[in-house]
Amino acid sequence: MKKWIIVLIGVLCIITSATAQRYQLDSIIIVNYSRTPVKEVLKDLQRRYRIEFSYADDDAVFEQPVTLKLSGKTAREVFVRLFEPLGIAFFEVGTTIVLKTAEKKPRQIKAGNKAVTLSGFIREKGSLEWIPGATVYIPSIKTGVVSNNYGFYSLTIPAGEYVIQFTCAGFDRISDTVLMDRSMNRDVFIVPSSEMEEIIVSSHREVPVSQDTRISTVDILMSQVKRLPALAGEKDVFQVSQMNPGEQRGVEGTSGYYVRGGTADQNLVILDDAPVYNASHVFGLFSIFNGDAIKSAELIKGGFPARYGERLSSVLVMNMKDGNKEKLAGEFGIGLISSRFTLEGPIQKGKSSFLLSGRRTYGDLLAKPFLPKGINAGYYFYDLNAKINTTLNKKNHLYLSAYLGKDNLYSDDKQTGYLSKSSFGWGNQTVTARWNHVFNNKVFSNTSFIYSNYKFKSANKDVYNGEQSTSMYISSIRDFGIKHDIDWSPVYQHTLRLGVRSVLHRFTPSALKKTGTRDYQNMSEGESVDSWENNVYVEDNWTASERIFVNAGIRGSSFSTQGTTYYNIEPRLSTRVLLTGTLSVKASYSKMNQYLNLVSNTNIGFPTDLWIPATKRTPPQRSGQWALALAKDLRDQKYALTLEGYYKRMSNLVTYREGASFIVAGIDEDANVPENITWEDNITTGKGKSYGIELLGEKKKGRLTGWIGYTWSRTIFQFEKINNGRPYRPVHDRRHNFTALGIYDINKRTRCSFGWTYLSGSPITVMKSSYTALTNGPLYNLDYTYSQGTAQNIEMAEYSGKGEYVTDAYHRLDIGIQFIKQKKRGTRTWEIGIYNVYNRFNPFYYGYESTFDYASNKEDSRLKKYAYAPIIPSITYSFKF
Amino acid sequence: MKTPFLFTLLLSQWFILSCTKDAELATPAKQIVVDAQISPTDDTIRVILMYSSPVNSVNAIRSVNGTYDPENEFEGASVTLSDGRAAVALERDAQRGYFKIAQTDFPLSPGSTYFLNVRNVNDSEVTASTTVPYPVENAVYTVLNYQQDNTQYVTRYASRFSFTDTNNNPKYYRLYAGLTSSRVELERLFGNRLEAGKDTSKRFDIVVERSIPYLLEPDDLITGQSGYFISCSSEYFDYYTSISNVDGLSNTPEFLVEPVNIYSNIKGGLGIFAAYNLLRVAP
Repeated sequence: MKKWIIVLIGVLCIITSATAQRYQLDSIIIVNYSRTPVKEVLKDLQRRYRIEFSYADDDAVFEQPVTLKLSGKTAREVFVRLFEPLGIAFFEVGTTIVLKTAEKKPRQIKAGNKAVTLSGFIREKGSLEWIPGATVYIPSIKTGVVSNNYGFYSLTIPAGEYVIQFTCAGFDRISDTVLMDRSMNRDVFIVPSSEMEEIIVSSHREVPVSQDTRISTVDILMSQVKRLPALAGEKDVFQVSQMNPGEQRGVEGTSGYYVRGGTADQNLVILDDAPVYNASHVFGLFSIFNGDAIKSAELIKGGFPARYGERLSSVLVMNMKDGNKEKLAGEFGIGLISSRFTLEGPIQKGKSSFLLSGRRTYGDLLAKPFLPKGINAGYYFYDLNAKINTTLNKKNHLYLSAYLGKDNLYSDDKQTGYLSKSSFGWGNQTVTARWNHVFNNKVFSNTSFIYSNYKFKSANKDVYNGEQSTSMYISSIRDFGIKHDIDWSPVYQHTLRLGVRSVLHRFTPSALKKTGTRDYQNMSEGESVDSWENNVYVEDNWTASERIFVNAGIRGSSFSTQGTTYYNIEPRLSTRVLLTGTLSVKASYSKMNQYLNLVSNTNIGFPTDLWIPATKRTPPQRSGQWALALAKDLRDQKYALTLEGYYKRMSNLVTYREGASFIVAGIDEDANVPENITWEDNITTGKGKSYGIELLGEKKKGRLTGWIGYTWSRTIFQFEKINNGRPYRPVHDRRHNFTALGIYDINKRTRCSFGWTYLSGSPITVMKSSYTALTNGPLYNLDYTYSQGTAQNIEMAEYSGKGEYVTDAYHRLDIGIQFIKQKKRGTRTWEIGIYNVYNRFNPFYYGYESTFDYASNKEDSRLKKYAYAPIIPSITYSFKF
Repeated sequence: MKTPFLFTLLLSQWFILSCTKDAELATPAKQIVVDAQISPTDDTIRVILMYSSPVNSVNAIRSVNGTYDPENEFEGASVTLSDGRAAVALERDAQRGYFKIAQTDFPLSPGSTYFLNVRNVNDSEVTASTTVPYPVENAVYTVLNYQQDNTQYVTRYASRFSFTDTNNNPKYYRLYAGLTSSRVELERLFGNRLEAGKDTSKRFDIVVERSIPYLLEPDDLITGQSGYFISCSSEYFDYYTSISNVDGLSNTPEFLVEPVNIYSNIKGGLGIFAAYNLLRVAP
């Protein structure tokens, strides 16, 4: 631990020392600006001469353009010429120049306390994409609102004249002075931060963290995702998301990720309102989300607004791009293992557009020529995203989006008189149709029709001498849903969100079908289970005062399956109190219910894991989570610091009982199990708790940007049929999690980046020894036991206590460098990346290998650590037009 | 361009497939493993002793050449059984590698508790105790139905076990159906039903239904049927319950199965010292 504190301090020192060089007020500086906003002038001086300024960022005076050309003058003389005409006073405090302007009060309209509403859509200039999660903020009354998932905002305020800021991470800020003497619509077009300019890297929106009303929530910027190094050059939303404190990746080869002590199934991933049940390729190495097709992603770990539920631990909300409405645009990339493309453009200029994005690996195609004759085997995955949308009129928009993805591992062996085919595949399909309707400038609604399907399928076919046999194992979950959401800004200081949702889940946890030439080979078992889930919610975003913001809500849910219905009420509360202009305290409580369970074998997360519903025997999972946070902005929002603590209790958790596996349900007729064993017989329920502290330090501006995150956490589970009912550490209870991520713009054409992750060891159960156990039956006559040596010998394992063995720590450094060039028809990028730079042998799985020497009657048994994904270099070419 | 591209690809594949290392784990201590399942209905009391084979070490392969102690590791060990009043030392069967005593020399009584003590020459010692249950009473075995399905090569068999019990029995049972046929003279046992916690002051019935492949051939005739009523100690029940959790898993990759620790009541070691009582009833 001590070691890591020293490392942490060291890294912080390196970052701060980069900005610690002093300037002198009497130093000679050169300025040459023409109609440049003051803010840009300050940024430039800061960059060129390392002069630190402190000023009210939201003051419109700093938006004013200035023209100034001076050389051979001292900094003091330049400042006098620059600031005096604008009424800005400057003085030196330590090493910082503090700029102060005369205080301005908004002009009040003499119409009593009339409330007016400002509403509209926030869109990207150029493509006309609707921008979710953008902040509309009025500094003078410290009131704001965030655009919803469709880019719509509505803010009811007292009549007056205001400077209104529109901000979104990855986009330039817009400030506008607006005379609000009546309600008005105002669509705002924001401009993406230029690829060549310095960008802001932050896990939060561009609002200062202290003023962000959300707690335990991070934004994952696509601009970040594209700039960071990635395995084999495959840009991955999850990879960046898992660098945040509180979220913990599974090791390579596991599809799960863990948030605040919760299990992998407690994370809801939503793509355009549709749930995605298995969000990974290659057993977890890559996520299914093609970064080129995603517009925004937001991860919520706690303080859940009432509009989100269904899972206990996190919600990852992702929105697909809508498609460029102005011009045909696109991007393609060629990498070592896959290629990708995105094409978007207008169907009817300014009104409707399309997006089509795809990715496929080609390892199987490249390997084909090297395979022996008659054998065809390989592995591939692909993703396809498609979306169309149209604006019917100012009040109605329609969207239709779909995702299709699949992993497939296959093998065909064709020889004379013999054919053997097998495949092992899984994939998701989602379709969402949405209708946005603006009732008036205070009320916005969205209606979504949702389809989602996840299926795992393993199939075999053997043909020999004219006889054939086939077997097919399927596990799937299919959703048909409808939801309706309303955003309503009725009065000043209140924005309401309310909605209903109804979903039919069709589970097929485990279905096996066999066919063959002979009758006895034909069999079919496993049934589908239908369940209805219904939700209703209401939440109020209440700006109680300039300092206090409250999000209070309640969510009701019901779940019906197999004649059993559950009803639950989930209260939600989160609040932010501004202590000073740059320091706030935040707190939240969330109660959650989860009616869907993923049962998984402990050591690994496989696509074979089963989705099952809550039933009479397995009631819904429940949790209550408290969180407390301190958020501090430093040095003019250049740095941000967030400290969070949480405590979470979970009940009715579900996992396999000891000895259970998805493979063997009810196969052995002599085992002490009912003949027709079901998945319910294989599982056990329990409870858990988790608590921890998360620290996030961000550097948001400058040539070097990035963050350092640290999490200390503890998680304990207790199940009736595991570890003899005693509490134990689950596999994801890793005590320390340290992440560092950085992007450095060397110049306008070259950018390098790194990401380093450290996770302390994972508690697992390992075999300590093997021994022979004897049974006197059932296959052998009791009367003959021992005397004829017919007692049945079974090789048994003596295991360590559940979770008593701690694996080696996981740590990995990835680096990348991008070479960007503006070409005549677009932007070309070459990227070289190295995954796991120092070739760390990170544990993926622990198992045993035995070698036998029958001559000396000896057996040598070794505990082995298996790993994959060692150092992997990659090179990727991409072109954006 | 094509050659370096393919080389890089293959190199990556090689890396991916080649990562295996010994894990850091201090070699656990070798433990004495006991298997002693005693019954008044058996003519001999047997105690099998073996050592466990710790990982990260080289060990003898157990149970070869018809002996449980191929390395003679327990030659000279002291194995004693007592009922709290009298104690006897068990004799080592050098050929089979276990310890035994005839029931005529040390009769087991239902309701009595027995204590096992094992001390090897290296001073390692393990102990355990168990209580012999009474046999069930008023046992009736009824074959409800059996049906051969020659298309599926399956025999569907249903039988009922009915019994009452003495109140001081521990209420743990194991039930088998037994069958001999014109083709298979050696009795086949099936069913293996473990039951616990019943109110045995009343008569109760347990119906065992199984579909068993290849139990009977198409022209096979049943020549004998039996119901096996085993009343057992709690140790016996817990041991077989934990074993049933791993039954049929031997061909399943270990990472796809939840680890199971087999129940043991051996203090200082592994294995089982348990008692049962058997009643075999014809229909």
